Amino acid sequence: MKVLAVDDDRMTLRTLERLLDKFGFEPLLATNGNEAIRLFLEEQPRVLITDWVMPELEGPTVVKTIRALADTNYTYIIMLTSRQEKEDMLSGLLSGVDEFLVKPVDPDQLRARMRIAKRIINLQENLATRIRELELERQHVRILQGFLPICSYCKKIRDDENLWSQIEEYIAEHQENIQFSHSICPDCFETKVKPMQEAFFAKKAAEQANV
Amino acid sequence: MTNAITTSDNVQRARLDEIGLGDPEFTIELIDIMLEDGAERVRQMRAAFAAEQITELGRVAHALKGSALNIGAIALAGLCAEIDNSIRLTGAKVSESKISEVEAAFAGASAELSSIKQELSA
Repeated sequence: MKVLAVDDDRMTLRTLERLLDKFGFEPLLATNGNEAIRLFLEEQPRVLITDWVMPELEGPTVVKTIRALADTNYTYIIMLTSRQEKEDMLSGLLSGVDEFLVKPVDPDQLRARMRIAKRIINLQENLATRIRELELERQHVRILQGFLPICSYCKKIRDDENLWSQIEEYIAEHQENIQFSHSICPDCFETKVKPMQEAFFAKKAAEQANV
Repeated sequence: MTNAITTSDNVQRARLDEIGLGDPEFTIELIDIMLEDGAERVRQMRAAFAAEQITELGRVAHALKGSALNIGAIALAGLCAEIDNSIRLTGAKVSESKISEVEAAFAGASAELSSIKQELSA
């Protein structure tokens, strides 16, 4: 798992690199906020560990930018700081930080925080996978619903309760805002209506002739 | 190499050993970074003080505090924290004697770190 660490202090950065490597992560290093954002876009790390006080972009600005840039993959963000005042903690949390780690880096605490990060990311990935599966299943159901058993002769439709109904009844029942205005198409006029008309007028003519 | 854990205000050996992960080469690398970057930051602090660049002085003090804490240079870290907090929280001016104290603390930490480096290299 890729972990991006950003700190302008060379010693802290080297320490983080060594510890992350030891804990089985793939460390990516940046010495300032702009470099961190570039690396974030290029490498898509799942965890960001950022210092607070840095030249150019400060930690909270980096966090806000990365939160705004992030796609569906959640990035777990740890703020590394020696600031422990309530206002600072609140400000960090509001910028989008998940967790704080107090300087100097304590190897045991870093390991524990990284375990939490891994757990949260795995949960998020499982959730995203489940959502994708449900979406596929929903599409599948929609396709199945699109198959309507229809009688080849009378064109009646069979519903979910195995009852056959006229197609207009079925549609009116399953589709809102549809009403039927009955009419006759030209083909049916020629094959159905016209013969009836002709028979009617012929009968009428025969009756008049008999009178 | 000796594994004896000693504590001094200049360098807390237990912290140095912890962050060095029991690896003499890595510990020496961290010591070298501190000697090099620390010296530069102490110079920057003196320059910022002379130029009355209070914000810059606070920023460098904050950075040196981080490195000093990381390597266990407790006295140096404490002095840098005083300067950092004083500027950030109250905006108060820093006295020249405080800068001299930082220089002295860094000299003390450097001497002890150099000694530890020799011990680890042996």
